[in-house]
Amino acid sequence: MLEQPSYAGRETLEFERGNFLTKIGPALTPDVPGLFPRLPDDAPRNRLTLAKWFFSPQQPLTARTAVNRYWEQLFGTGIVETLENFGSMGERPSHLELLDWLALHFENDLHWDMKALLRELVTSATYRQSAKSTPTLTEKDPRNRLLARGPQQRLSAEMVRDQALIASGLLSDIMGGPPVMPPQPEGVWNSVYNDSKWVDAKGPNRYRRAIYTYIKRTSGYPSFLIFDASDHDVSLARRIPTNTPLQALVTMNDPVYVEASEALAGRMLKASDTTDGRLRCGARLVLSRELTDYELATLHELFEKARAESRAGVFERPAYGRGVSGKEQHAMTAVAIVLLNLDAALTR
Amino acid sequence: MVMANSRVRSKDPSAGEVGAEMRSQVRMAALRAQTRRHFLRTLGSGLGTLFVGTSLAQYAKPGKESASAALDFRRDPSSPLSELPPQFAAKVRRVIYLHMAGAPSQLELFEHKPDLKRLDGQDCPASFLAGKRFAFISGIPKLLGSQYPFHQVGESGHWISDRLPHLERHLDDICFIKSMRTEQFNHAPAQLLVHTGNARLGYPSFGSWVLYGLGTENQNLPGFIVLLSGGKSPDGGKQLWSSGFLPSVYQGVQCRSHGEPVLYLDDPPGTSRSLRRDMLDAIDKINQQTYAAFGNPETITRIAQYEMAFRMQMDATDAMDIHKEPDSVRARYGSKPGESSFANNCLVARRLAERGVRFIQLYHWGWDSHGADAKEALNLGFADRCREVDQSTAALLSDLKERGMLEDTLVVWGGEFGRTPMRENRNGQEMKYVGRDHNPGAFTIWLAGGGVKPGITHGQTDEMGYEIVKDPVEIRDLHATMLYMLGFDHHKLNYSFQGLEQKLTSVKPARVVTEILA
Repeated sequence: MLEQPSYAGRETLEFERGNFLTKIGPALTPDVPGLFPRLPDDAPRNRLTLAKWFFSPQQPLTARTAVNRYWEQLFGTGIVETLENFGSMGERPSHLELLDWLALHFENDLHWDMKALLRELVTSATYRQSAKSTPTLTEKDPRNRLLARGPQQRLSAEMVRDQALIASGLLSDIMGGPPVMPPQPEGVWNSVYNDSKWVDAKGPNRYRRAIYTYIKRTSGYPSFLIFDASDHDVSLARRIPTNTPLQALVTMNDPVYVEASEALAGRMLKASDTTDGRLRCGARLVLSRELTDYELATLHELFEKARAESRAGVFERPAYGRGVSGKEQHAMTAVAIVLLNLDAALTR
Repeated sequence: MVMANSRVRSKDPSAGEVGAEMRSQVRMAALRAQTRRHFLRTLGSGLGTLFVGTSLAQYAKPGKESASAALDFRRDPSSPLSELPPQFAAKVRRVIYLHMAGAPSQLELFEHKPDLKRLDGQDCPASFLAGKRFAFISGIPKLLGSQYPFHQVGESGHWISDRLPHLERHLDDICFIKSMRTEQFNHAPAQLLVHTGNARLGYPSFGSWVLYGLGTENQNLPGFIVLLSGGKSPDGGKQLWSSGFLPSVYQGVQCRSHGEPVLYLDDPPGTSRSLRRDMLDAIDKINQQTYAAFGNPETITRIAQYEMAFRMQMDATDAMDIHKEPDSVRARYGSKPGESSFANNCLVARRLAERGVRFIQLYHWGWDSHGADAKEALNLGFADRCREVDQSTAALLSDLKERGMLEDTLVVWGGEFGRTPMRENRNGQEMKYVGRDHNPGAFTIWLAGGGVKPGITHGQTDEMGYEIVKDPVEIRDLHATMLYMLGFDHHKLNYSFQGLEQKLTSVKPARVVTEILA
């Protein structure tokens, strides 16, 4: 994308109540809302001037809104909950002094170094607290706005996918390039005005990171929408997380997750010769921790049940590892689906 | 400098020299404001919210609140679709909206205009064209009389053409609005206006608002279901059932006639129900332990949602399965299982209504009768469209009536705008087939069922059926009226977004059409 040369720029007229059919003159010139610090009178009205204006010392909002967003990424809720609105109709900050200190620190001490800011936030005592709550604490501060415990939140739509792919070893690390079309159910692709088709990608493009997924406004990628991603109709400053049965159907039944579970089962089967060793491997891949005895026993029991139920030949896949039967692979896939669907897997 | 300002602003407005009673009132008001503002953003908050919710519940009950107070739409976070009472006693509990996408010609169906017929073939008067924009008409088009004969029916004496022989038996139950009007003359924005109250993208659909306001009876099925037929999606696309700025749980779920009725509903191949049950049991057990360790109420919610998903797999499959209906019932609708047809969708709509689905939206594509080709021409394709919807719409009304459900179900039938009394003359030429252009200035819809005065006609157009001469009804008036039937003052069903108390009827004044209320 390139900026038009100034001679090719078009005149902008005011529309009456936003109606493009009724233009009311005269031609408008670019400026910033009167509420904010003014642009320098002698500066040309272009993008460079605007960029400088954003980062001028007279402009405290840039740093303040930026640190608030980084905070939200890590803690789940911004210090100002309404990321998109710092005005009188937005929410009040939960920790006003902290927000201002962080903003000034980011601007003056860290010189807009995002990585340094993130390091400071994730190494803070507040962030490193245990997420463990008590009934009293939950009752007093249900949304943890006062941060008496560590943050806990569901993974975003993109993270849910990427986690399943990386745990299973399927994730492609190719970066950039044109968007890709991972599997989506037939009949979803909605192209009213042309005949473009959704063709499920084969090979590495099937397993690229979520951000490379083809985006079409009239037909969003369904599993992302179900996990609260934007449909891209309008700018979405903030996703409002939900917790619905349709999400459970995605991570249990969507072929993307079934393929990931099969591959994860394969990794688990190869990792050890004992069932418990295989289950522990799966937990490390998905949860980044060891299983408790209770969890291990529960998964072991499921594995035995699934193996007993599996009909020979139902699951014709190349066996993974030495002496692994189709039944074992089928049963381990069921366990892998369970691992990817645990609350502990879907929450960070 | 600005920081100092913020500090000043941060001062608690309730602090100061006020009496204790007033302070507690202020706090209560703040809590209630927060109640609505935080709606469902607090889904993640869990049991603590539940507790506060209980202690505040009395304030949400209709009758206890003054007329100016805001309604509380908060839910138990584990069931964001749980039922809430309407603001006041309502006649309508559920809606079945039959949208004829493309805009059916009122002049070939319900608008009997003998004078137009008499002047058929004559040049259209210049006054019809002054200051008007058309999609395709250019130069001086000819007037076009109805392509089909009209007759009067029943006690109501409604006029109807010969294209809807089954539906005409129900005309005494139907209320026509012949003075609908819209601001949009292209399909996609006009459909958006009909279904979201706004011609631009990003606003919640009618069904989403209703689901947000009332929840749904059956938690094992989506509360807002969309069914498509006619071979194409409506021009407005999925935005027509989008939840806009409302939380995404309120969006319409498009059920499909091929494959899984709801996306991802079927277990992966080779997974039996009993294995799936075992898997869920394992998930539940481990999640219970996680909850014991961390005490995050979201974990409890997740356990409940996985159980609901399991039940939904069975119930949604069953609800969509029209094989379970007797042959006689399928014959009544003209339904053939496996087809993506309006008839099948009408039958499914009835099954969903019986199971407590709040809002059922059907779209049937193919009514854009410009006369540009045979498939949509008034003298050809249009007749096919009529056949496709006539018998099944009538069967749906009969079925609802027999089951006593028409009393509390609102059925709406209509398009996104009307069609011109002039014959379309694309590029100023006479076209091979007969058709009409878009007319946003006047169109007809009908309503039947709970809350609606049966057998009446509201509004009137001129002798040519071109412009409204009596009782115009805007889309926002229709929305306000439907919300009233569902038990809401349309000002009160709102949601805080972008600094506004957003509502379906937007900012222009909307009027409840009391004349059609039963």
